[in-house]
Amino acid sequence: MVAGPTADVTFRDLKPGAYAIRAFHDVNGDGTLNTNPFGIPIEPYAFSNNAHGAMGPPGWDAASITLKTGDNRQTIDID
Amino acid sequence: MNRRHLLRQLSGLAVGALVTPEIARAAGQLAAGAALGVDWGLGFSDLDADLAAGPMRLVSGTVPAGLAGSLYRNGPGKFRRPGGSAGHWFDGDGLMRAFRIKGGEVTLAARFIDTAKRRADTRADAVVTPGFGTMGRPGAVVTDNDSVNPANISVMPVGADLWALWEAGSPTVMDAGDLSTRGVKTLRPDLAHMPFLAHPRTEPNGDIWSLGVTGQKALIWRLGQGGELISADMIDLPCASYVHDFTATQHHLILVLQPLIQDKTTLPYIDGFTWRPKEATRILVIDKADLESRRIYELPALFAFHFGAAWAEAGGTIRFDACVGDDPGFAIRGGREVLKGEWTPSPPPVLALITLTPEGQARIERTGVVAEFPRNDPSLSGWPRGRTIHATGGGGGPLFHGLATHDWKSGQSDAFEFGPAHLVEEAVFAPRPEARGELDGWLLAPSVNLAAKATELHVFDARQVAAGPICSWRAEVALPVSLHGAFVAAPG
Repeated sequence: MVAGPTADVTFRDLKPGAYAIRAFHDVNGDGTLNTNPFGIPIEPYAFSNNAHGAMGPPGWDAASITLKTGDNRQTIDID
Repeated sequence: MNRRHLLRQLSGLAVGALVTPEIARAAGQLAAGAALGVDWGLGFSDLDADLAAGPMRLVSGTVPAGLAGSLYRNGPGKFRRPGGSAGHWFDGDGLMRAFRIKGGEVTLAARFIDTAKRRADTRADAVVTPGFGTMGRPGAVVTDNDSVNPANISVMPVGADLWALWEAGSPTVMDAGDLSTRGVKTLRPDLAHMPFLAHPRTEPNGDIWSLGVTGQKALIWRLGQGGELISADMIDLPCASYVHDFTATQHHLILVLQPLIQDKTTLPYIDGFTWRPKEATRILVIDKADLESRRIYELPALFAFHFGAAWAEAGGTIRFDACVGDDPGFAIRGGREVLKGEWTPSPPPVLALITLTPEGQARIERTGVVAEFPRNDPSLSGWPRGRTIHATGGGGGPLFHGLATHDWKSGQSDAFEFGPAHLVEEAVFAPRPEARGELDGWLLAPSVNLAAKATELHVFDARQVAAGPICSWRAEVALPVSLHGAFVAAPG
């Protein structure tokens, strides 16, 4: 659980390569991204690169990031 | 085909057996419009900024005593931006108009609804947000249905507020006084961003029914007259039809499932649908008290945007009116063409009566009367009634040039046509104080006067439409044509 305007998460021991991140703001703390009965998310969510989709999640090309050896930093805005 | 092209084609036709009445009528209206030097494109032009409340000028007649209140009307009001424009009339930014009638005078104000879509498109200086018939452009941020919600189809007064309605997202709440936007309405947290149709059905006791439809699923909304949620139940539908409207009797909800079927999810939204004219129109009748209790009727393929309020007769026969066409040409093609000043002549919708018998038979009787935007005396919605109010007099170009009431008992149409210089908008009934009986009151019908280049408001006696307007007011400006409205009488 995180309170405040920012949260830092560290993923360790990832191999270099292409990855994508999906994040959501678990407003009610139930551990899942809640949706309405038609499957549309009702909690804020975002993807790596701050990629946006239209009628569904963004494609791999838009959301994927390349991790290099060493530290990598990715900032995602959720609102 | 543009209008000039059509005119050239029509002027080359000999008057004879090859000219159908529809073509002749279209040619006549186009020629009349051209002779007047009017351009219907004005009805689909952009309003660039909000219109502060200003007086309308009485141009004819005498204002009837007792008429006082506010006519609110919604409809798309801005389509074009430097970096790219909307591709369909239904994708313009919602614009709320308020005609306020008091002491024999009228003011007109118009204010854009402050939606996420309008903000995103304004920031981008382009219509980037996808929609019903608009592809969208890079830069759109679509997280849910309300990201693309233009709140641009209809308006429902709820308590002291207005709800601006689209059909595939939440209602947008506005202040009825200054028309400022408060934001989207979440009726229950787990139902955020669920669709809410632009054509809720309000019972005379105040309960409000609406639908949210996606594919073969529908959410049935029931609200109290203050807009509070009473229930929200999911049902399965037999097919993934395009649903713009539905109807209801006192005891039943009636969903007309036309064979315009969604077979893929794509952008623009309407391009995911296929018209299947050989398939049936299925009519689903649902018991309001037990949503599992349903009957299905069938009619040949038809397309209608709008239905009148249904009623049941003793013995259980259900009847309702519809403005039916042979295909969804306007949804797919016409609504795109009008923004480009183009128009492909096509048969206009006609008024029809649909009857569902207790034995399971459905039948449709077409009156032949050109009709769209059906309304009725709201005090009778869901109960037996005799009359339908509708726009009429179309065919030569987009939209309509007159209004009428239809008497289902006598089959008589009580109509008035302004002619091709006016695009006449949906007429809304305003009851006379102490009204007695059906349609005891006035019809309030705006028009875009193409010759005067101004929006007008006309008042008719609802029982004597053919007599012409009792009075007409004219604004300083022409607002684009609106779609649907609601009248709120001044407190007596």
